[in-house]
Amino acid sequence: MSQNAHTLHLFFDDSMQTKYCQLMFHHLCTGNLEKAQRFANDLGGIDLAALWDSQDFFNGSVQAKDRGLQLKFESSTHAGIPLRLLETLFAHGLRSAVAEVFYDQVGETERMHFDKGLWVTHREFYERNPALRAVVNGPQEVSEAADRSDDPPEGTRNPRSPVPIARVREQQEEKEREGREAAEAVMDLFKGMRESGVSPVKGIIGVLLLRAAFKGLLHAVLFTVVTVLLFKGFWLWMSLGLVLAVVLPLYYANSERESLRS
Amino acid sequence: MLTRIEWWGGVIFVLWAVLYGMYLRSADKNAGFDWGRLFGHLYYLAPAVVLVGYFYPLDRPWLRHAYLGLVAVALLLAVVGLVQEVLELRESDGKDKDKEEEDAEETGPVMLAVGVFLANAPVLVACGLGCYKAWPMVQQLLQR
Repeated sequence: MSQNAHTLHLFFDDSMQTKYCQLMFHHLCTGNLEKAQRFANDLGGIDLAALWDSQDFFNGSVQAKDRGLQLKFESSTHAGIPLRLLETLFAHGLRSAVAEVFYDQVGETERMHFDKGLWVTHREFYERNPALRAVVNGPQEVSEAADRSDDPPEGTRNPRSPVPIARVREQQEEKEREGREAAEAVMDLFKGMRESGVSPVKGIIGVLLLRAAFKGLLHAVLFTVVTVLLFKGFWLWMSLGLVLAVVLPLYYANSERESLRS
Repeated sequence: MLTRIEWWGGVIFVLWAVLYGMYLRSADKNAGFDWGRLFGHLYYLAPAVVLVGYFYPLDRPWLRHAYLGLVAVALLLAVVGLVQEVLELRESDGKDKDKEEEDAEETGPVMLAVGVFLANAPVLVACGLGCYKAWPMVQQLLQR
C-alpha cells in the first residue's frame, strides 16, 4: 500500500523546548497520549489533536539532530505537508522548520522552508540560518552545494514573498474544500442523471456541446462589437452578427460532436 | 465608429482577418525566429496598414511620403509572395502528375491565376486601393 513519507527538521531557540518537544513526539509516536500531553503542557499547552492526527500519521520516530529535531512519520497518500502541526509548534516556541514529504504514488518530493512562522524561500531561509544548512542537508551536501550556484533542491516550493503559515494552511484547506465540493457536485450530477434516466456519458457530451455552442455565441458577440465599433455601416454588422449568432454555435457544436465521435 | 473605414473596407478587413488567422494557425509556434515566417507576417500586415491609410486624408507631406513607401513595400511583398505561391502550386501539380493518377487534371494557367487571386484577394485589393490613392502622389513627385 502506498503512503507518503514525511521528514520535519524542527529548530527551537531554547534547548529545553527542544527536549520537551522531542519527548512529546516520542510519546505521541508510541501512542502514550497521557505522557505526551504532559510535555505538551510544558510547551505552553499544545492541543495534541491539532498537532498529531493519530488516524492518519503512523510509523513515527523522532531524534535529536545537532541543534534541532528530526521528526519522521508516514501518512496516507492524500496528506501533504503538515501545516497545522507546524502552525501549532510555531505558536509555541518553534523558530524555524524545514518540511519535506515524499509522495509515494507519484515518486515526487515536496519541500517547504519556514522561519519565524513565515513560509520563506529556500535562499532566504539559509540567509537567515546559515548554520542550519549542514544540519538539514548534511555536511557533504553543503560542500557540494558551495561549488554550485544556490539552486534549491528539486521539489522545493518557494513563495514570491514571505507568507504567514496560517494563511498558507487556510489556502490549502480552501483548495481541498473546493476540490471536495467540485467532486461532490459532479457525483450529485451523475446521481441526478441516473435517477432521471439520463446516461452520465450523454450528460457530459451534452455539457461539452453546450460549451461549444456558448463559445460560438461569444465569438459572434465579439465580432459584432468589434466591427460595429471599428467600421461604418452599423446595420450591416448588426445583421451579420445576428446571422453569426445562429450559425457559429451550430457550427462549433457540430465540430465538437464530430470530434467526440472520432 | 472609432475609425473612418467604410463598410466595404470592413468587409475586406474581415476577409483579411480570416486569411491571416488561417496563416497564424498554420504557423509552428515553437519554431522560433524564421525569416520566411517574418516575410509571411509582413505579407499580411503591410497591406492591412495600406488599407487603413486609404480611408484617411494624408494632410502632411511626411504622411504622404510614408504612405508611398508603405505601398511600395506592400506591393513588393505581394509580388514576391504571389510568385512564390504560384511556383509552389506548379511544383505540387508536377508531383501529382508523377503519381500514377491517370485522371489527374492538370491545373490550367487561368484556373491557377483565379485560384491564387481568390486566395489572396484581400491582400491584392488592399494593394490595389493603395496604388489608386498613391498614384496622384507619384504624379506630383514626377512633375517636380
